[in-house]
Amino acid sequence: MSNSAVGNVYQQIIADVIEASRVDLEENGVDESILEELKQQQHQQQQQLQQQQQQASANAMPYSPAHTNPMPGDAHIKAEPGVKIEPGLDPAGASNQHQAAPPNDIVQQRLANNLRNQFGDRASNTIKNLQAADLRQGAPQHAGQQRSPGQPPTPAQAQANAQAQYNQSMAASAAQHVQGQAAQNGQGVYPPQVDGTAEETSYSGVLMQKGADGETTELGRVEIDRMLHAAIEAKAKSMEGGGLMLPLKRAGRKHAPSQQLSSAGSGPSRFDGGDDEEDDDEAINSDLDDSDDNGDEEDDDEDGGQIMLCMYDKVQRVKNKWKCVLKDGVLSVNGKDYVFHKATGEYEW
Amino acid sequence: MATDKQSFYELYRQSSVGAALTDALDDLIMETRIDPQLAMKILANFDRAIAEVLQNQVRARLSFKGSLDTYRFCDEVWTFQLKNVTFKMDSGGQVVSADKVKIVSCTAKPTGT
Repeated sequence: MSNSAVGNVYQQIIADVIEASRVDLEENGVDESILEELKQQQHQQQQQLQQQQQQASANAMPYSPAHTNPMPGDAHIKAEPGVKIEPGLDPAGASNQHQAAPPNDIVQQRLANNLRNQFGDRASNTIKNLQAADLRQGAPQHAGQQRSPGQPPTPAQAQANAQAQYNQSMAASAAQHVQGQAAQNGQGVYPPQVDGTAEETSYSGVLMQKGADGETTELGRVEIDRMLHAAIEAKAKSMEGGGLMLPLKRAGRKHAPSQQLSSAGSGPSRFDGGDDEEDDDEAINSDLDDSDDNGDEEDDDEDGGQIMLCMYDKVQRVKNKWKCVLKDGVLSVNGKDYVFHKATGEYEW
Repeated sequence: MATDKQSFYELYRQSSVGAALTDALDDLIMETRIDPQLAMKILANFDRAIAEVLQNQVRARLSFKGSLDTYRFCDEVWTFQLKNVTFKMDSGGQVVSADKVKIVSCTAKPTGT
C-alpha cells in the first residue's frame, strides 16, 4: 500500500481504458486521435486535481478539501452566469429605466408611422399627442402610471379632447406607456387592470381608418390590440436582449412579467409563465427530493474527497465493535490517493 | 479472470481518476466531438479496467482504526462514516490519519475471484 504505486496503477487504468475504447471508437466512426487527447486531458486534470489537493492539505485546513473535486473548468462554468447577466434585466428598477428609454422611442416611432400610414394628415394630431405623452412620460416615470387615460392633464392632450375620434387612440398609447412602465417595474399586475378600466369607460369606436374614398371605417378592438401587441412585443424583445445567457432563475423571474405583457391579450402563455414558477416553489415532491439530494451532496462535499471506494469481503459486528475486511480499494485522504488490495478495519460505533 | 459479459461496479467513477475521465468526456461531449453513448461505453470500459487493475496488480495491504459515526447497508452496499481514523500502511509503516472518512463498499461476491 503506497502512494507511489498509485501513479503506475492509474497509468495502467488509463491505458486499459483507452485500449478497450478503441473498438468502440471505430464503431462510432470517431477518430482515434481523440483518445490521445482524452488521455492527455485526463492526465492534466488528474495532475491539477492532485495539485489542488496537495495545496489543500498544505494549507492544513481540515475542511479545505471540500473543493478538491471541482475541475478548473467547472469554476469557469460556474463563474460565467454571473458575468453574462443582462444589466437591463436586473430586478433593480434603476437600470431598467435606462434601458427602457430607447425602446419607448422605437415604439413611439412605430406607432406614429403606423398612424401616419393609415390616417395620413388626420393622424398628425394624434402623433403630436403621442410625442407629448412620451415627453410627459419621460420626466416623471411613475406619475403616468396613476393617471387614468381618460383624464389628460397636459395642454397637449386637451387638444386631443376636442377630437373625440382620437381620444381612444391616445388612451391606448397612454395605456401602452403604462404597460411599458409596468414592465419596467416588474409589476405584472397592472396591464390587466388598465385593460379593465378602458373597458369600463365603454369606448367602442376606437380608431378610425380612412379609406381611399374618404370614408372612415372603425378599427375594431382586435386590430388595435394587435397593434399594441406588436409594439409591446417589440419592446419586450428588446428588453429581453437575447436573454438566453441569463441564469435560469433570474431569467424566469424576469421573463414572467414581460411575457405577461407581450401576450396581454392571450391568456395561455401568461398562465404558462406563472405556473412554472409556482410548480417549482410549491410542488411537494420536488421539495422533498431537493432536500434529500442536497443532504447527500453535502455529505460528499463534507468528506471533501476523503473517501474510500472498495469492495467488502466481510463485515462483522459484535455489540458496538465492527470489523470488516475490504479489498480492491481506492482511498483518497488528505489530498493523496492510495490503492490497496486488502484492508482490515476495526472501529467502534 | 473477469469474463467479458461480467458487469462491473460504477463505484470507482467517484475516484479521482474516474472523476478526471468523466470530466474529460464531459468536455468532449460539450464540444460535440463524441456522443454521450460513446462516453457511456468508455466509462463502462473504465469500470472494467479499474476493477481488473485493482484486482490483479495491486498488492498493498492496509489496516485502519477509528470510530464509526454512521453506518448504512442498502442494496448490498455498505456505507460507513468514520471519524478520527488512522490508516496504517503495511509497507513502511506509514501512518495517515484523517478526522473524517467515508467508505463506500460494494459486495465482493458477484465479481468473484
